[in-house]
Amino acid sequence: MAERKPMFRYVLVDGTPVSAGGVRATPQARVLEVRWPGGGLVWNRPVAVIVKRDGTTSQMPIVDATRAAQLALGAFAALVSMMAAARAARTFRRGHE
Amino acid sequence: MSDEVHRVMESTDRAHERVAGLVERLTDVTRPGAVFGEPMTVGENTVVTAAEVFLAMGYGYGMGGGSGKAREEGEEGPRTEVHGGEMPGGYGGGGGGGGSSKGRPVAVITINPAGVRIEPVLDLTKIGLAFLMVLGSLFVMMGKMRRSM
Repeated sequence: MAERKPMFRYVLVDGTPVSAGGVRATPQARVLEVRWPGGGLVWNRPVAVIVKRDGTTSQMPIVDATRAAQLALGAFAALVSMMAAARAARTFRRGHE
Repeated sequence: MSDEVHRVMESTDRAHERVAGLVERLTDVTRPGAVFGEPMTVGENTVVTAAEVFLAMGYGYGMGGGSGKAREEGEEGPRTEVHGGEMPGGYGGGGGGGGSSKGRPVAVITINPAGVRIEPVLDLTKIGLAFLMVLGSLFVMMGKMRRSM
C-alpha cells in the first residue's frame, strides 16, 4: 500500500554539507507543503547556513533582499495612505465645525 | 452496462492515475536540492546558489451517464424508441487541471577558508515594478482626495 502523505507540512530541512578549508557549511531550507485531494502546493525557500569552524557552530541567516524591499515598499504605501486619510479626516472635521 | 461505459471509465481512471502521479511528485520540490544548487569550486572558493521555489497544482474530473425511460402504458413520444434492443442512453466524462510554478534566485553562498559569505541577489525588475505600483496607487489616492475636498 502506498505511503499516505501528510496534508500539511511546515518543516526545516538540511541540505548537503559543503566543506572548504576547515569550514563546514550546511544550508537549511524551510518547506511549506499543503496537499488536498486533487492537488497541492509547495513553497520551498532557503533560510540559513549552519557554519561549523574550529569546533564552534554558528547560524547565518539568508536574507531575501527582494522580498524585504517589496515588503518595505508595501509598508511605506500603507503608512502614507493612513497618514493621508487621517489628514483628510481632520480637514473634513474642521470644515464642519 | 455497455462496452462504451467501460471504455469511458477506464479512460477516466487512467487519466486520474496519471495526474495523481504528478501530484505525488510534488515531493521532489520539497527536497533541499530544489533550493540549493550544486557546489562549484573555483580555487579556494566554493559557491552554492540558493533559490526560492514555489509550485501549485490542482485537477478535477467527473463522469456520468443515463438511459431512457421505459415505455409506460398508453404513453406516446420519441423517448420510447429502442435502438438495437437496448434502451437509449449516453455516458461521458471529462476533467481539467492547472498549475503554476516559479523560481527566483535569493542568494549566493561563498565558502572559503576565511569563512562563509552570503550575498543577497536583488531582483531589480520586481522591486521596480513594486515601486511603480506603489507610486501609481499613491497618485490615484491623492488625486481622489484632492477632488473630494
